[in-house]
Amino acid sequence: MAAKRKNSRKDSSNSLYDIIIYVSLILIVFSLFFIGFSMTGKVVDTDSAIVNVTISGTTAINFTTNFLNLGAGTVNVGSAAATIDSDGNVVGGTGWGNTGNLTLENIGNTNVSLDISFGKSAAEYIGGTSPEYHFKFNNKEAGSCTPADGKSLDSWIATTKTNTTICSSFSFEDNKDEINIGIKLVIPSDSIAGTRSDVVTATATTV
Amino acid sequence: MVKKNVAIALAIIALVLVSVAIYTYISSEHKAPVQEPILTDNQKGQVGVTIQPPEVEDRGDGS
Repeated sequence: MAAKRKNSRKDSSNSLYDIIIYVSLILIVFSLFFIGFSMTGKVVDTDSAIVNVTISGTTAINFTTNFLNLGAGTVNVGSAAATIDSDGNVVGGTGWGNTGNLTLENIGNTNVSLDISFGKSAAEYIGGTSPEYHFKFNNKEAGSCTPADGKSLDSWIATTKTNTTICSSFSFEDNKDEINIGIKLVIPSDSIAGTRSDVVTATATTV
Repeated sequence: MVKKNVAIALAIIALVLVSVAIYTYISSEHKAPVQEPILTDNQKGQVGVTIQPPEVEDRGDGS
């Protein structure tokens, strides 16, 4: 009786080991299959080749016209100020009247957002009582600039020494990758006389 | 006895391989996205203007 019980226990242990062996083998096979798939991405080997090329994004802009000369002039006697702009308009002054723009081109291969800042405030640039210093931007090539929120093309904006985002997207594509930047000044009669200049900084950031 | 040892050895191997498979799966699912560096470029332009002093009319009488 005891021998029979012993034999029965032995059989049951044997079948347990069998189950462990079979389950282990199944797990090993599936694990190896999964690991191999994860590492190679393929289970079935196919004959294929890959042509791979990486084109790096380049962020680059360029002032193709980097100097805007508004010319020389004087505030008319009796006038509190002269208003001049880069479209050639002159009110309350004599001389000036130059036309032109700063022209900025996206010469990279990625769309960018565009910020503009100025080196001087109106007071530092022109001086006098209540001077004003504005800029505007427009598309030299249609579709170049998507104006940032709150900004629009051809609207005068007061300059700031900190960055002002003007284009949420400045395209790099040929035939739509150039904008013009114009300037307007209100020059008081008591402004600083002489030749004045200021630096405009354009900053492009990949979007 | 041999069968027992074989079963234990296979069970250990299976356990290790299952652990590796799980680790491989988790690490591939939670791979950190590659962040492209933000690239910037600065360029400078210049705005110039000449402001001349107002011309004062000379009336010839010293005023």
